[in-house]
Amino acid sequence: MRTQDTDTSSASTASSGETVTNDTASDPHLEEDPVLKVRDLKKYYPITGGLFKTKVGEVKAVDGVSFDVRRGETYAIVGESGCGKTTLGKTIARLHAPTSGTVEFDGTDISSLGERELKPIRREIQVVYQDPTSSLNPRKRIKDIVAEPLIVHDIGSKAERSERVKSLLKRVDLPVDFLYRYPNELSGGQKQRVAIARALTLNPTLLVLDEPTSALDVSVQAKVIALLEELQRDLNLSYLLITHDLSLTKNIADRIGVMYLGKFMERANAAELFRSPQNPYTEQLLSAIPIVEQSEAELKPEKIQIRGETPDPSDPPSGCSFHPRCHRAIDACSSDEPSLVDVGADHDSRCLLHGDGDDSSDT
Amino acid sequence: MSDPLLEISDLHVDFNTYDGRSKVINGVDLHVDEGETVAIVGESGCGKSVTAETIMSMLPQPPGEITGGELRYRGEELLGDPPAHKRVKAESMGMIFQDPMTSLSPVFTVGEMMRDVLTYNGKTEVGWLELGKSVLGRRGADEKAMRERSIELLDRLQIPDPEGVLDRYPVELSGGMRQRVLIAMALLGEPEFLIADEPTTALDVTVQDQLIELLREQIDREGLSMLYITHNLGVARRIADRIYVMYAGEIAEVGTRDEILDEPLHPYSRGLIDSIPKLTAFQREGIDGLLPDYTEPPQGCRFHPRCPAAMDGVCDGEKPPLYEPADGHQVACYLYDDQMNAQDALEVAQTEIEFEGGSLDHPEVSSSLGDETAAESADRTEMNEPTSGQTDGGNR
Ligand SMILES: Nc1ncnc2c1ncn2[C@@H]1O[C@H](COP(=O)(O)OP(=O)(O)O)[C@@H](O)[C@H]1O
Ligand code: SF4
Ligand code: SF4
Ligand SMILES: [Mg+2]
Repeated sequence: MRTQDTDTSSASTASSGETVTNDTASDPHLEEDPVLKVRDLKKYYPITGGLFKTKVGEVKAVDGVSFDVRRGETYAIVGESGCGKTTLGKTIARLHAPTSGTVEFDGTDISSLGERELKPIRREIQVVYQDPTSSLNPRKRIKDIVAEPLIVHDIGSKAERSERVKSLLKRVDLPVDFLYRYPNELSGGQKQRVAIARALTLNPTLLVLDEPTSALDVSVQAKVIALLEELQRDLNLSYLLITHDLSLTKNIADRIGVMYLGKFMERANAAELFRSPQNPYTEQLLSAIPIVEQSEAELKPEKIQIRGETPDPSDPPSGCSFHPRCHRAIDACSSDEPSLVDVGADHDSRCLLHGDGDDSSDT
Repeated sequence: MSDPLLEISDLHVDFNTYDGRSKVINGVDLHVDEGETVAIVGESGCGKSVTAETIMSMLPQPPGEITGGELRYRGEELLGDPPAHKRVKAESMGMIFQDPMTSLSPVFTVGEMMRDVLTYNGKTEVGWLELGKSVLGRRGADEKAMRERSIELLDRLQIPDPEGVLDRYPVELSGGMRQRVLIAMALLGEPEFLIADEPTTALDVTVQDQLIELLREQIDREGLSMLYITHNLGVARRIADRIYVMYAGEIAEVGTRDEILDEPLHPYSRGLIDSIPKLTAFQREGIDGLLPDYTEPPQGCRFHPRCPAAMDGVCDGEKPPLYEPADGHQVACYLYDDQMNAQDALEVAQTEIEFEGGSLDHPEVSSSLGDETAAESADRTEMNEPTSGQTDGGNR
């Protein structure tokens, strides 16, 4: 995560501890040694119906998504409810199997591994969910919640586990006497710290953070975000941050993928996305941000008349799936499907208005 | 200046809980002028909804109890006069709730619900007089007229195929459409004053944007006044003329939208606004600590245990009065005094108030965690192992 808001023209924002090439001509996907490499990932859910629960259709929750997460960076997936961002996170963490496509973690394709081969990978990729109240077992004490991954993976003696749990609580700035408490004795922010501690138990490389602070009040959120940034710096973690809060991503993400109905509409370096959004959907999202301070006004696009809501994902519109809501749509948009095209360094967008540009190599 | 449309003065509301008496609303003053939209902002559990419930005479009593204060609508006192409160509510007020799924009935169609609102205007205990008026008077339309009026309103809220929607159940509609139906229902009784409690909180930004726009249009078109409750300061900027910042059942600061959001004076307002990730910047300091336990609220300024500018022997003594450095911009904080003008006050705010950095937040366990029920907190106290208790300040 970036510690400062950089609004420079540099195409890449180096994150702490890592040098990222600043060569504007280089294809981001040729990036050497990304920690996560997702290619054409699809996850379809069957829709069943009738007496015998036969398949009557499918929801293309994730429909051909490609991106890389570099070591030590924060890659944000933004989009509105139902766009598939949670499914994307879960599929990457292999909480369910993808329909097709590949997920390479540290050079190993984990998309089709079985449960036994996945076990070592599970230590490396951990997930933190939005609602700590439902993700923490209410009948367990904090010490057992945080130690659970150690027990599952059969790591350490009892004493070692207990030491590890203590140091983890410290790591997330919770006092040691929380060990003996139950989740419902803690505030929302404290519970989320416990969830983060548990995710760190096995020294992961990548954290999937699914709306990690959305359930918290902003004064608490700020501190949890600061903690996540500190952990990232200290432990060289990579984050896949799933969120609907664009202002948050502007401040903490290195790169951003904007998702709509299972697909990326735009992918860019964070500073670049806010400075020069290329996709009409991104424009709408930015224009709808309810700004707090007057000084923010000049940093977002002109007011756009927005209409409609995300359509039923089991029956997406033809052509460009955004066309019924798009303020720039042309006739072709209802029949022709745009693909992601290169619109700048480390910047792609999916829109017919970009013309035939170079198809992005991987989509 | 003419009388405000709605005025609350020195409101006190307690709750009787298992943990004791919760002194939630502690001397709130607030007014809404004719044609004005006023927002109450603050984090969860600060008392926004309790304030709204008091105005709408929807406070559950018990456990709630109004222990002091007045609520005047066009000068008429309502808290001491329940029949008058009911009448004013039916004739003049409309309410838009946060969650359409719980506030819309699952078993009736949109049309049936709207017809009920038109017939009884939402009351189950209407008096004969009101019922008579409602049947014969301006709302006493027959079936066809009611249907027409419903369609007209749904149409005004840009609901496609309003006639079809009348025959649909709420579950069959999208979140944004349900919220529009709720707004339409609030407008059915032709209110002159609307209360909205977090009506867009559950919605996506693009849908929220459309709804605020629509609500704004209706307000302007009918010349309505509105009290809009939200924890989202960006939404408050879009909709409100003036903003009240609430903390732990008290008004910390009130002023115009720009005064509050661009030049806040109260330490809580500043901490809150700084904590929000913005397009310009994001301060990660946050605010140390948690909302206090309402059964034992801090003496003096309720914010003092969390305030980086707190002064020993001052802030923990008497409740701070409201200082008014600019006309209508009031702040309840001892950093200010009656001699200061707007410029002086802003300088004080900029030099005296500095939130501590670092990622540490507060280790204490509050026994009043926002929206939990009394039963839950009772449960929790039972299970408590040795606690560090309520400690002040941020870092351990
Ligand atoms: N029916 C109730 N019984 C007991 N306590 C209540 C009740 N309603 C609200 N409270 C308490 O009053 C305080 C303020 O709540 P509320 O007005 O809902 O806050 P907000 O709307 O600002 O989030 C909280 O501590 C809450 O737990
Ligand atoms: S392809 Fe057409 S509908 Fe889709 S984003 Fe571009 S202009 Fe809009
Ligand atoms: S300075 Fe004192 S009165 Fe002002 S907010 Fe802080 S504690 Fe309250
Ligand atoms: Mg509320």
